[in-house]
Amino acid sequence: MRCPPQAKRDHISDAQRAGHDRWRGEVFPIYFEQFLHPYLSSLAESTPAGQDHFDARIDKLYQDFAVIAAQMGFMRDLEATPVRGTAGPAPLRAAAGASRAHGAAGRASSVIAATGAASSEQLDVEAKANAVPRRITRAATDLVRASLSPRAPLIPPRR
Amino acid sequence: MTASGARGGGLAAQTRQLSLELQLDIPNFPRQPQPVAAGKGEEGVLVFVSLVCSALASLVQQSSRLRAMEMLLVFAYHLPDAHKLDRILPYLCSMLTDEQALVRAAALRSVTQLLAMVNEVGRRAPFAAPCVRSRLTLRPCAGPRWRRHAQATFGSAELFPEYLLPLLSKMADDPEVLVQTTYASCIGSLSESAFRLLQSAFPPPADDVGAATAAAAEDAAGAAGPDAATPAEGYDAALDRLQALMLGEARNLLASQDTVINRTVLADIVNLCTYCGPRNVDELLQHLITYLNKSDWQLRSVAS
Repeated sequence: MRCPPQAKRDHISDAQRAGHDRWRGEVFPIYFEQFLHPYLSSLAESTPAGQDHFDARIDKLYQDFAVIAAQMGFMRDLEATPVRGTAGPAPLRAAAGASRAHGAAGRASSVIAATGAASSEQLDVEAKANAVPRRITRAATDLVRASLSPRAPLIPPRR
Repeated sequence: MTASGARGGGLAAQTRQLSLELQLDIPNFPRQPQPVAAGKGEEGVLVFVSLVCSALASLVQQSSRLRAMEMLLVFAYHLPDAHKLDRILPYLCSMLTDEQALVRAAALRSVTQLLAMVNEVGRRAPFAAPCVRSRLTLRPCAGPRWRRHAQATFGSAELFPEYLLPLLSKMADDPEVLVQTTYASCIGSLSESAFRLLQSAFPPPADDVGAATAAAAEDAAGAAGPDAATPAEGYDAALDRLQALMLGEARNLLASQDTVINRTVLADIVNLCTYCGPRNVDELLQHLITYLNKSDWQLRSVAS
């Protein structure tokens, strides 16, 4: 198979030699590696095959939409302060790992798994208490920001 | 009288804007998407669009279909216009024939909101519209620059008459009142979008190009055949056709026996009259006069 752009060809051949760190952010955006690939792999694993396989997938996307929007840069509030650390594994990768490790319990929203501080019940109660949508949004923004901060209490990665 | 009429028109326009405003119901996400820098995260959004669109046809539950369309609208908000029309619009249109009335109504509303987001139509036609595509490929692309430009955007002008309006016209005959009412509330915004797309498909020629190629254009017109038209004539013909089709849709809704549908059309009748053209306003006014004799006092009140 031929890959016309030289950079992509070099990328693939170099990645085959397990030297992919040099190409980080070169061809694909950096969030492909930090967010997109771990999230999509966790999405595929967390939705078992069945009749409503696609329904489960869409529901999970719907529940995790705030995280996706934050990672894609849809939320302006999060862009104002750069919170992402330069080193260390991405928090959502840890969340994906935790989701894989805990099985059914790990199907909770990735933002909750990433913070490690709130359960889904707590978030539901908080969401019901805050009737004003802006307050819910602000709470979600804080959650996502906490998940993106390097000082946030992360779930330790799987050994 | 004038002041009250202006107030009434403003109120009707505000009602339409409120009813068709994008109001999202996604957990932990704002009611309306926020504008961000163009092109940011576009590649990743396309991955998610492919994911949702591929799952859309296989969804079993009604709530999942509604949620998928809601997410597609947010993704469309952050994508360029060409992607909105090429990648998202055909999938939303496929939901117009869903068996659930709620999904059909939501799809109709989503299509209207998506088209309202489009500022400038893409240079290509949607891939799911074979009639538009065949016209594009069959037409020879020769001649001077402005003529080539007009040929290349021909499919864009045909988006509404050839692709969307045949699909949307079935909504007026839908067995469910909910879908008919939704169509009645969307027809004003749809006519505005159709007019805007038509205008962007036939951009006014630049002065230098028009002056330099005027003579060459005549030669090319003679060489292309007797049926070749200038862009101005093509625009007029497309506008007349579009106005006739939109008027036909409005006529179906205004002649409906259900007064709720009539009232919903009247909420945005100003917009409809604006884009249906001055020649067709008389016919719309005739419907308004007949409403004054109806037994429904709410319809009489709105019509007056």
